[in-house]
Amino acid sequence: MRRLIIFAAMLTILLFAAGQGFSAILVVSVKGDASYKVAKGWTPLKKGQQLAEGTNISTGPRSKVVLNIDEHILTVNQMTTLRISKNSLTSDATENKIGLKYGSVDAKVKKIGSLKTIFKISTPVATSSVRGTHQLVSYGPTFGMIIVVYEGSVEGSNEYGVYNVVTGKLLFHLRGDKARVENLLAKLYGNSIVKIQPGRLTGDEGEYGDRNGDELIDNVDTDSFFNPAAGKARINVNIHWPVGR
Amino acid sequence: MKQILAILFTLLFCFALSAQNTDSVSFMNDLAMKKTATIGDAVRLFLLATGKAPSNFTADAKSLTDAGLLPDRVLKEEDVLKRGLLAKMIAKHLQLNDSLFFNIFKSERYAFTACVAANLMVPEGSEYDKISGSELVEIMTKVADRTGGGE
Repeated sequence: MRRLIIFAAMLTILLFAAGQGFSAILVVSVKGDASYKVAKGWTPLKKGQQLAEGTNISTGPRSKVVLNIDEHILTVNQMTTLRISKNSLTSDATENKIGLKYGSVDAKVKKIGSLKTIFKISTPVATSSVRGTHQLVSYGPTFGMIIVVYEGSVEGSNEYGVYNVVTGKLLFHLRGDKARVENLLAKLYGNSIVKIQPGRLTGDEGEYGDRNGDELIDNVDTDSFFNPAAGKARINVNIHWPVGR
Repeated sequence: MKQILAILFTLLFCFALSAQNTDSVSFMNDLAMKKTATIGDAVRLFLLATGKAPSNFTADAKSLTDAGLLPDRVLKEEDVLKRGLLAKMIAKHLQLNDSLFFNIFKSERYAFTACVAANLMVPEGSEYDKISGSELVEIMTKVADRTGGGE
């Protein structure tokens, strides 16, 4: 009996020691109806639960789940279904991949020391690769994939040649029935009152500039580009007065 | 020993009773796989998304009719859901009064345009289109976000 107790104690210590450095998915909080599935059938999700790679998670209406995935915080918003398709942690890299079937997630990705951080959120139309940032990713069959970046920068790309770096107030919006993203500046256009487009740009260049945000500016000679002596600039001022409510 | 086991089983049973309801999650995931949503799907999801507990279709449809969100005519649970009917439910619920024509005519056509203007639906299509289950989930998620369900 004494030997059995000592053996059990040693086994327990070994299991805990082996657990250090393993990747981990921890349920931080659950609000409303949220479930997980590994093989068949949905099971209610509980706070403090540990999940494994390959787990599907789904939230109901007016529900939310917060996960800690290797110190990265992933908030699964209401009416969302996703799969944790990869979760690994080695001595030099942390790699996590989330497959978002529909709904939206808010990801705060932490840069952990010198570890290489790979955190990808994939939808049926594109993948966002996060670089130590805070972002909101949503997907639906009609609106497509939308990436909003609150902090840092994110790459949005797919196998058909879509590649955009999203940062600041740029908005990545790719619909399933379109080959290219919508205007990256769409969010700004709706709030701006002045649009400045130099007269030297052709219609195609202007459209390219709209689609790729400010990357075009980085590739031209900025001194002559902004030199007032080079020519006149045409400014369109669109003023929309708020309608009384 | 038997008493300890009996207490343990009782405690486990109590935990099982207090478990969350997986019905809404199962319903949503099954709905997202459907090629065509029905009126019954829309009624149930509408109630869930707006924070109410659905019971049976007859009672649920009556509650929405009494609230002025569903037309006062016979609706069958298995009838195909059209975009216009859903748009009208949403436009009335969210009181999308920015659309002049919807304010005047209150028709499904202008309810659809009001929902497009409010970024709840995409402009492609018409009020006569059928809606897939996944699209219904997508639209109702936006409605729920607007009514504070995302907090």
